Amino acid sequence: MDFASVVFYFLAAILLLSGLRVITAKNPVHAALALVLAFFTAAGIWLLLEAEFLAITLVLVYVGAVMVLFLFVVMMLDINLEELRRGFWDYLPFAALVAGLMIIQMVLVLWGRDFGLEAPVPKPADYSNTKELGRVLYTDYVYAFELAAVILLVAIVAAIALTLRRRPNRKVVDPAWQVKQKREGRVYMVNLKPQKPEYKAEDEE
Amino acid sequence: MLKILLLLPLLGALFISALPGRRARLIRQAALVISGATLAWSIWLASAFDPSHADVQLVESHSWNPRLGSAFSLAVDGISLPLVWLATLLAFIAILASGGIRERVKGYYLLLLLLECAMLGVFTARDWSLFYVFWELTLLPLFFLIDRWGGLGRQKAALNFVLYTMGGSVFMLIALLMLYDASPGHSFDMDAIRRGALALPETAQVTLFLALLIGFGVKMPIFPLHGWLPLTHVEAPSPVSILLSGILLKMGSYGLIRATWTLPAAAEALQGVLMTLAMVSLVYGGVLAWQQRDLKAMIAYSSVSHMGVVLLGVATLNSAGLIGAVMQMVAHGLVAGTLFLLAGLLYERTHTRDLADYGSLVAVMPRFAFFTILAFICAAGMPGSAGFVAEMHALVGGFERWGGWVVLLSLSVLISMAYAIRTVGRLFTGPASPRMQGLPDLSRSEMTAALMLSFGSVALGIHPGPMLDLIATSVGRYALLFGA
Amino acid sequence: MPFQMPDFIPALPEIFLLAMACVVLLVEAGFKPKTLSYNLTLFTLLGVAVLVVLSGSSDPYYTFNGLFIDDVMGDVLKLMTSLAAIVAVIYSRRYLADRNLLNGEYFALLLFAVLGMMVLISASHFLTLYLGVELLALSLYALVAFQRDSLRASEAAMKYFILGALASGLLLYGMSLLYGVTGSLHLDAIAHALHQQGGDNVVMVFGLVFVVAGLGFKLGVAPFHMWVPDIYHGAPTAVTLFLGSAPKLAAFAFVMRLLVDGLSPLHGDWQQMLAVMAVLSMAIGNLAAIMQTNIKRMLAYSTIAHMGFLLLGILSGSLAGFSAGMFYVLTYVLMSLGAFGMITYLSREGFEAEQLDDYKGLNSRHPWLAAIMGMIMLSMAGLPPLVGFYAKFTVLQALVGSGWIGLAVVAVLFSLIGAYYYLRIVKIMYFDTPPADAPPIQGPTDARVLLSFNGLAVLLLGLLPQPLLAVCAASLQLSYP
Repeated sequence: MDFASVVFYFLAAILLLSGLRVITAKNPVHAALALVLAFFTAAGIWLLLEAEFLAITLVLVYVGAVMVLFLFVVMMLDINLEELRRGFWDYLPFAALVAGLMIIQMVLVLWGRDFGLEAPVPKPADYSNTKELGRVLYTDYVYAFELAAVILLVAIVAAIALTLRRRPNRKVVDPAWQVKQKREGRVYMVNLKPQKPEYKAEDEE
Repeated sequence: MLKILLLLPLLGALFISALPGRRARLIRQAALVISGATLAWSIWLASAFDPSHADVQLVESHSWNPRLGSAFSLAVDGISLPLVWLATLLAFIAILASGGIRERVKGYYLLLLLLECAMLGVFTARDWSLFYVFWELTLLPLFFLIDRWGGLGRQKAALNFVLYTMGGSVFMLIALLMLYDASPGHSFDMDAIRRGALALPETAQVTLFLALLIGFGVKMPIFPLHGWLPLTHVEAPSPVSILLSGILLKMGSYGLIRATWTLPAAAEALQGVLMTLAMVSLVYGGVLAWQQRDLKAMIAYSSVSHMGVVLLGVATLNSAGLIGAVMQMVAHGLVAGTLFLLAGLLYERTHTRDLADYGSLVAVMPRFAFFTILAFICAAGMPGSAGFVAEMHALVGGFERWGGWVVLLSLSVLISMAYAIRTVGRLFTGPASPRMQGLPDLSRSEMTAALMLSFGSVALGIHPGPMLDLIATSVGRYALLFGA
Repeated sequence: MPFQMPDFIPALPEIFLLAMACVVLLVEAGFKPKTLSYNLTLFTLLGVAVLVVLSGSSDPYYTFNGLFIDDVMGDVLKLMTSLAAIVAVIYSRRYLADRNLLNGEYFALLLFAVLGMMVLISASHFLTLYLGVELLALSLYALVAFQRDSLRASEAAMKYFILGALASGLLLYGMSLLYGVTGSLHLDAIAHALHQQGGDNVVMVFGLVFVVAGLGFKLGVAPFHMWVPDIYHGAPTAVTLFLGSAPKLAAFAFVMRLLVDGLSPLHGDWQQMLAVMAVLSMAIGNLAAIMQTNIKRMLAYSTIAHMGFLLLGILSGSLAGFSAGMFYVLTYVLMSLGAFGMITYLSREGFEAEQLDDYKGLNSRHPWLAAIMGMIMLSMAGLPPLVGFYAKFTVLQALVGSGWIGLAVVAVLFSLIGAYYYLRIVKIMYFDTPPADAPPIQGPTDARVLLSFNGLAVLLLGLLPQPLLAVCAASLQLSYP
């Protein structure tokens, strides 16, 4: 076994374990952190496959942005995920059975030999993965790239259209209007004559 | 020529749809004129038709959907021409007898004319896909006619009828598609289909013939496929019953004759089956008719029995038998038309169809009694009626083929005699029911209708020569296929 | 490898559509009059139709480095898609206005959905196929949920979204397996590679199973049909109208591109799968439809059955079969537009005409509308001389021609069962008495005129199906020389 294989199995083991943690951890924050670890190790495996750009993007986007956001949400919303996961152990035997069957099927089918593709030739050291990706993305695949952008646009439009509520009687503050207010518009001097409060004895009945 | 025959009722229906719905009398008169003109035109066709020529005549063909292999081609021969006459005559009679329809008159006559157009299309089509389209097209007006103007159980009857017939015709459709696939040059033309069918192996031919038999057998109806018939006939308004039993049933047997010509080997192989089915239909229909208390149900079951004669004639596959089959179609069309016409008129007056409710009507309605007795005599196939000529031919044809077995046919004649006499007895003798007093006798237009049909029956019975010649010429060509 | 500027001309309709969808979005933000976005949408769709005609070419033509194909089949389907969308928009205007849904976001999402369909129709690459599907689906999810205060709509959208995502997953997984086997994402290259390797590769079949399952979900055929009734029922009728019409054209293109363009060497395998799916769909669709009391649900089940019938045309594997399938889907869209258009037309503020009882005695309330609806129902049942008959007829013709006689028999038997519930609607409209308190029917004139044309088209195409048949056959002949 060469060095690359050792690294691969090492990373793959961590990936599997952390993936398992994601679904078994009781504390949702722990689960999210395990997911971060999983992403990180996956990025390591991609590095091994000479896909540096993807690896770095994974770390930057998912670990750096998405998961941090997700952690914030989890911590702020105070969801009792334990509630959502209550049936986990009840369903586990059946789920494990199904998963096991699927694994067996897939192993039988995908035992490598059927793909029939020769291993790709390693690229020279000065080969820039990022540059190549960029070149392909903006030339050959520009159509697909644009379409992906449109899909994101639709997602934004849909999210806004479905959640933005223009209630007529909502209570909001307009800062500009707030700043523009003068003292004269807000404060009135009222002359009140001093009065003696009249007490009524109520417990006399 | 034939195009005009189809266009007349169709344009008439369009014309009626343009008339204001409140002018009921005007609409009725317009419908009468249109169907009368169609009748006249169909009779005039005889002048252009050469009865000594066996093949189809008055051919006209227009390109319609070449991509589907279908063409709009029409023609008639000695088998279809009598049926065309029958159809135009009965449609005219049906409209004449529709005086009792008071509500939604416009829709009613419109649908009747559409139905007439579709029926004529079935009998004149020379292209199987056109045949199928017209065949299915008859369902649409009938569905509405039964469901809207029918009796109490009309909704069930209408749905039952449409689904039953469609159920049969889907088998026909598949068979036609398979024949189309086998035909040289991929066409639905009847001649091309036949050429393709002849080249098929015999087992395939038999399968296809059976599929067609299901489609046509539902309509005829043949014994196990007759389930829709009593309900539909009982619930349909009487003029529609006239068309149903007078013409719609004949579409089935007409199709069957065309099928034997298309698939002769299969017809020969299945001859025994057809004969058995015919015999069962004959006896079964007769016995059931005997059992009925409801007048219309009785006539309906007697139709099963009479169509058994047609099937027997077809099954003989020889000249005499086929002549008998075609003749019986015409004869039964006239007789069943008369019977349903009279039953409808009686129902209109008495609002009961139960035979036990009637009695000694002869004193109250002498003209009605006369025509009814005449019709039952014709129905039973007494000498001097068209039915006799037809049954005689079928008998002769059957005897040539099977010898003594056709004694069964005589049995069915006996049964039909039995129920005819019983019904006549119930209607016109016995204690006079107080409810039946003071019923009006037949009016002038009703008399005309009954007279025309009865005259047809008797005239064909006394002087069948020309009609037999006309049929024999074309049928001879078919009989030649089977070496007889 | 030097970069070649792609030829933008074939994609002009898509580019125009995208630009105009963005304009509609901007207009909504800046201007108040509500009808502006409606009119802009109609203008856009009309412009797309014109551009499709102008930019079409008779031979298949690839651009964008083979990601995009422009052929006659695609052009016809795109043209019909935009026309169907126009009809759907006109039908649904008053419905939307009554429910306060008539705004720019709705139309922008609708335009994006049309864009998704068009991308899908001219996809020649796994990537564009997938992106088209996602663009279409995402817009539709949002449209289904658009009536935000309707619990039913939200639930429907949720179901649609989850099952749609599952389907996308299946599809992607299958695609990746096929990529693994063939080393390419181009449909042509895949077909070539599969052809060279022969069909006995297990991974190929494995991938095919996943792809077909994903396809089944998107088409809504059994056993992947569970979402259809809920979505049709739950969505606002105007959305159901749109959802049930134009996307079917894209779905047909999707099947054609994926199975015929890309996986034709495996046709022996997918034919069997499609046959099973078709029979199940016709059985479940027709039988379940009988039990429905809600007309939207009933039509949803009938859609399942119709999609099953469509598969029959495709699985016959011949050019005649494909053209029969295309004819079938075009006529189905016509009928579906009419049927859902009628439901939309009869609904009014605060009232959905979606129960079968709401159609009682329609004939005495409005004979002309009843006649149109009756024709559409009878056409769906497949009665001549309406166009639905020829749709079934051509499919059966192709099926019998390819020797699938048993399937043809099953198909006609199930369509016979289907005839029952269509006839039941006719019966309800014509022979039942209307409720005494039924208000008079009134609706916008443009929708009524269009509905009339829609109904008459069903009859006219039934009497003379030849032109449309010729268009279908010719476009397939040019697209698959």
